Amino acid sequence: MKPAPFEYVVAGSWDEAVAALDGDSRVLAGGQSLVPLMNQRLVRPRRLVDISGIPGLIERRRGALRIGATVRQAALERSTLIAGGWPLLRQAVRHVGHPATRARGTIGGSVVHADPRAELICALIALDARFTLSSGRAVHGPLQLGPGELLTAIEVPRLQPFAKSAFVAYARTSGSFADAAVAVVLEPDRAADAVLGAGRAGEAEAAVRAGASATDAAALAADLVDGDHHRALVAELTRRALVEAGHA
Amino acid sequence: MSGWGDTPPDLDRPGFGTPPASADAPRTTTRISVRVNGTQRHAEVEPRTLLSDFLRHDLGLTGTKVGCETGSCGACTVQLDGEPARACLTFAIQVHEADITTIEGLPHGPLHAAFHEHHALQCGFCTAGMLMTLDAFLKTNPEPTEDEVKHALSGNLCRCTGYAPIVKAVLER
Amino acid sequence: MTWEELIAEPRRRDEHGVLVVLEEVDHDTRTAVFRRAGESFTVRADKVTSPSDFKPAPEFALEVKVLTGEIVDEDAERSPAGSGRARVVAAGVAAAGLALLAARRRR
Repeated sequence: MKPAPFEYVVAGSWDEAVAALDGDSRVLAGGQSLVPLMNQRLVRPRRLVDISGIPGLIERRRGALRIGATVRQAALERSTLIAGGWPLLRQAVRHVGHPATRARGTIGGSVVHADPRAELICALIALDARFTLSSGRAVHGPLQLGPGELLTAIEVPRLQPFAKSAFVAYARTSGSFADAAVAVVLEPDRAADAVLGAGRAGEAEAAVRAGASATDAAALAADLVDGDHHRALVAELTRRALVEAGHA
Repeated sequence: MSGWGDTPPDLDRPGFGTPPASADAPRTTTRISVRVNGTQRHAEVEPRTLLSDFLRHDLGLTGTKVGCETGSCGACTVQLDGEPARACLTFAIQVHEADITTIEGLPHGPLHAAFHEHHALQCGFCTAGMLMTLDAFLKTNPEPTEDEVKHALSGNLCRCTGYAPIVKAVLER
Repeated sequence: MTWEELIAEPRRRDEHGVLVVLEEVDHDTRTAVFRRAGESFTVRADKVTSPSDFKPAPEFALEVKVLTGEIVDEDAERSPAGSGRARVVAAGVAAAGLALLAARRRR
């Protein structure tokens, strides 16, 4: 296996990257999803625009978190700032691939590749993340990129004091995509419950705020997905996540 | 010239036999300079040349093995600027000016000896990737627990040993 | 070197050709984390809490302990991840720039 020929362009900035993109181009960030597809020739772009050299930082400013799109997944995993302030992200990123793929794979790449089983997106949605795009647009919620638009950064608000979170996933083997996963954030006046591939479980969140038991709320979250097995997985994972986050 | 076309110079090159690229596809090469195991190397590469192929075909460093070429098996793991990386998921053109360590450049140490001692390899195909992954892991985590070792090796497949001797070798090195 | 200068160059290669990447910047505590050759190094600005505490003199910036960039094992309390492995470089600031990292591999 070897990719079909392509033209390789290095972008030193987001502006350069946007300028280099045309209809038959692909953006190369960490390459941990794109290159396997190219090696199998499932994807044959005419041009690759490499953005991995554009600096990306994990930053905290006035309590809020900003993650550059080109931050490597391993950087997020080992960050003490993340572990202290947003442990949910650390828990979720440990489910993404393997140590060697996390060393190359980027946060932005994982979000934009948007595999419905991508654990990071699930965690970011539970954290009310905001996606900043190269066009200057900022998107809250499901991310849809327009033509020539690139994700440049992800902003995550500060969690309230005494916030608790949990990320629970079920995968057949370590590093495979999860069959099901749930991210829960419980704050004094907010409950967030995101189901992998299905988004926020609004009814379950309302039930948690109204004082429903973890089991009852979990049953509502399971309504987001289809199939007996998948529903059972989501219900049990949601229950466990709620309990882990301190909700009885 | 036979009906099958010219004999490729590298029959073992993965991808041989896949449909030819369209005639108008760009086929340029770029000169890269990369430090491999402490030696500065220069070469002309096509953009699509994988780092794994570059190391094996162009530099003759065949210690790095190529397994799945989809990032699943870990056999091709090398260290790129000190971090473990899949050579099959990196293009050679991306490592211009970088610093690469392959199994040939890993100094013989207690980990090698422990692998030997505990029979942590049989056919040896996964071993280079295992050692490169472990070297990077142990640098920042010199006293790992068994679970941590298993987590660190989750991206390296071995079809011979059943992993137990490998984990033991790491713990008792 | 000022805090701003410290974090102004997120990716560079040092005189040995080794990549030094700025990974993390905590503007609230003025702490920066650099990654070099597979190891992380934390650099703390001195205990300056607000911009008004800063003086224009160049010596205000970083806690200077060792000019050669000796690596000091980080105490556990600064490491919420429970990893004793991130270490603090009490960064010496040479005139030429960051005297980061005469990195000693641990083993």
